[in-house]
Amino acid sequence: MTAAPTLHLTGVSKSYGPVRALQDVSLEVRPGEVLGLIGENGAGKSTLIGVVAGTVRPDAGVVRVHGRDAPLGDARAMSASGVSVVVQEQALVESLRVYENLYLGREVDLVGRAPGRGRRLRRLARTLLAELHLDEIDADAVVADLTYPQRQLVEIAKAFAIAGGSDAPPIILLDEPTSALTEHEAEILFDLIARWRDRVAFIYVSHILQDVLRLSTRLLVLRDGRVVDTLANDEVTDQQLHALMVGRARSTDYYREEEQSGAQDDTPVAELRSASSAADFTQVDLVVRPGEIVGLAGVVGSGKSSVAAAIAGALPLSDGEVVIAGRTRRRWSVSHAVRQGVLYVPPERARDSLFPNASVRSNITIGFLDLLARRSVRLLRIRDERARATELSRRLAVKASSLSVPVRELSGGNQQKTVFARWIGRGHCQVLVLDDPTRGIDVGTREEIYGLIRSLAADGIGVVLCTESLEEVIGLADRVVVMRDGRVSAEIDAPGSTKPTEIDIVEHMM
Amino acid sequence: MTQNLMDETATAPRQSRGSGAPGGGPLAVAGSLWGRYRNMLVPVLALVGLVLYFQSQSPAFVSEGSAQNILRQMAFLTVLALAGTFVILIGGIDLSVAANATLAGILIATWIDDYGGALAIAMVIAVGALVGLANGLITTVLKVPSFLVTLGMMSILNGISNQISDGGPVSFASGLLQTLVNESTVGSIPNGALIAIGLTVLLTVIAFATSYGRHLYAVGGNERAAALSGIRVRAVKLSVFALAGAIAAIAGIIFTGQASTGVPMGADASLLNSIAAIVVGGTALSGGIGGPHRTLLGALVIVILGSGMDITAVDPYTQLVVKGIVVIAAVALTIDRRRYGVIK
Repeated sequence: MTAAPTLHLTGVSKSYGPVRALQDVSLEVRPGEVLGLIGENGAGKSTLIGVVAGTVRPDAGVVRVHGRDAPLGDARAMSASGVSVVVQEQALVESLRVYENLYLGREVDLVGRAPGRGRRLRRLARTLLAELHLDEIDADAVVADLTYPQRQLVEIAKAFAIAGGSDAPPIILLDEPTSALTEHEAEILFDLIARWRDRVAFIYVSHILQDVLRLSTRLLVLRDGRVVDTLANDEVTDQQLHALMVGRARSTDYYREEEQSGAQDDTPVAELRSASSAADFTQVDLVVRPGEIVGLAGVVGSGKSSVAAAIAGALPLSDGEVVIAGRTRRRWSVSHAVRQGVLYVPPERARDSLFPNASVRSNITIGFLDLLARRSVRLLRIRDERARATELSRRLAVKASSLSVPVRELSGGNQQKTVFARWIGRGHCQVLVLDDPTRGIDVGTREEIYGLIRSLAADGIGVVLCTESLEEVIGLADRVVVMRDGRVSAEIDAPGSTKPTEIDIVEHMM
Repeated sequence: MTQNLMDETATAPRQSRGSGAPGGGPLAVAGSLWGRYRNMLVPVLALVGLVLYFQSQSPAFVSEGSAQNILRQMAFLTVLALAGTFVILIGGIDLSVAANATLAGILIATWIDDYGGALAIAMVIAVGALVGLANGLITTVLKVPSFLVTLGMMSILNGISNQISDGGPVSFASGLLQTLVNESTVGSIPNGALIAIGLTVLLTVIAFATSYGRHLYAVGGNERAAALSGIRVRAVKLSVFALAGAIAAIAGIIFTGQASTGVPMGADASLLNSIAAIVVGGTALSGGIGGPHRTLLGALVIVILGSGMDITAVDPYTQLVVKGIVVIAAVALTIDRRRYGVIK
């Protein structure tokens, strides 16, 4: 075994436009180690995993595998040098059988070209699965017929298959591997890790802190794209980690907390009553009052985004009810919601909101065309349309050379402003549902959007705010609803005078 | 709000697109204008170029007789292409418009003497709309790609047309279609061409000046975003397919009026021409860009190309090759490559 670390990253940085996802990150892992990687949403975990996997090319930095420089952003080279990655999005070929998937692309090296290859591969696969105690998985099964957790185990077995086959100690990166596993299946995985630890360098990424604490020998904490601390895993507590993950001063000016007014009336404008949606959330009760900003917090997959979508009519409920302005809505879709003044700004602008080739003007007026139609002949009042679009873009300071240019030519922040303009133009708004409204937006525009949200709330609109940034939720919300595994785990008041800390909230998230 | 920001906006220079460096001189400006208006300029330039070329080849090209001929062909092709335009605009395609027109042509010939002109025409258009609605229902409810649904529908309609007509021409006595399609009310322009132009104007107004029309562009531009901004996407799609069927039926009536007899397989050969007209006009197959006004322009280009080749005695097989090349070139010029994956 070499003295050099098996995997060594030095000074890795990566920016996406104005967002600095990683800044000068260094880490090393040696065989015999399990490095636990933790950080809140948006801390840079995914980007770091991408760099190790070779799917993200960093702007700066050096990646060394077994003491040799690895080419940056080259997934094939990383895989060839012994780095296996098990990610949330699975990389199995569904139409092939388990044994074919395990040795995909390496068949000839393993069993040669002679006839009977299939039989030999199958035997190899059975031995491997037996050795890994994955008795419930048949080497002959077609992957498409397996359940999601079974596939996850196959994926992990594949990483081991590659690991077992090479001479140098391999590196296996597990990204949220237990997210879809039952407790029993997770135990099998933890056993595997413990048994193979001496021969493999593991990087383990999970938001389930207990698991990370139990498995890891060393911990690396990321925050805002930087390494906050690396510490040996002895007698570290949850609380210490929470503090490391979030600890930072919050600026009250930034979120205009002095303007925070809170609910203007106790009668709710929107409610969810023991609402469930098939796979996403269960028995959620939520109340939004006029003028109130309700923050939804939780890790990715906690169901917060789905709850927001359900209020806006974009996700049907399987059980429970949506109550808007005191009336239960049996048929609730986005088009119903829009007419009732429940307006939705979905999370991914390019996918969910924008008509990229249409003009900025059309992208704004699409939200209120029905209000521009003449009563008699249903023709649009084109002059009014132009005037409204101009007025709105001026009010929101949309920067564009002309409102006729396609919206795709605008910056992310200005695109998001056109989405806000689309709904503000309706005039009649009761509830505004915002899912990650500042994603990928520069600081200056963020501030403008915060100001906008505050002024809308001051006008008596109930705001539901769901974002990946805890700081943002705490800064803006009057009340924070925390979700964990599809259920509401806490409701925390956050008045301007006494804001909760991020630790107060994180402990209910994980 | 922030006054400074606005001043900046007002004085900000028009950004040039493409590779032109900022302030890169007239070439960059031309490049930028070309990028923005490409879909409009291509058919206009093609039209002017074709007329000049054929005129230089044969002085007979610009003449009263040839103009009449072009207007007649244009009437049918424009209406048929208008039928397909909205479907392509929402990102689908209707390959059954020509077969639907053939069926309508047969039905009008069969019914016009029995039921009388107005009722027969209304019934035929209703049948066309129902066929379109069936296309729409299969596409939206069963989620089968529209090109496949309408390809199947094309075969079904061919079968039905031949069953009704027993595979032979259907003659009729009424002179109504002759009046409606071939005679002239304004100058010497045949009424069929007036119908085509009137329909183009009507559909263009719908496309640009009604919420419904704007919703078509939204669905074609980004279906998911359309749904999330409150547009009832399924209703839009159903109505577009039904409308396509109804307009295809009008095209079929014009066809039978011009042929003065119902012809099985009559309009079928015009499918490629109608798609060519839509695409050459600048309506992108990727959806969300274009419109009925463009289709009129595209139909003119296709008809002039065809009749020009007739006059200059290009043999019919070479004509087929040329038209195929034109369609492919037009798609290549107008398609939005960012969304290439969308087209199956």
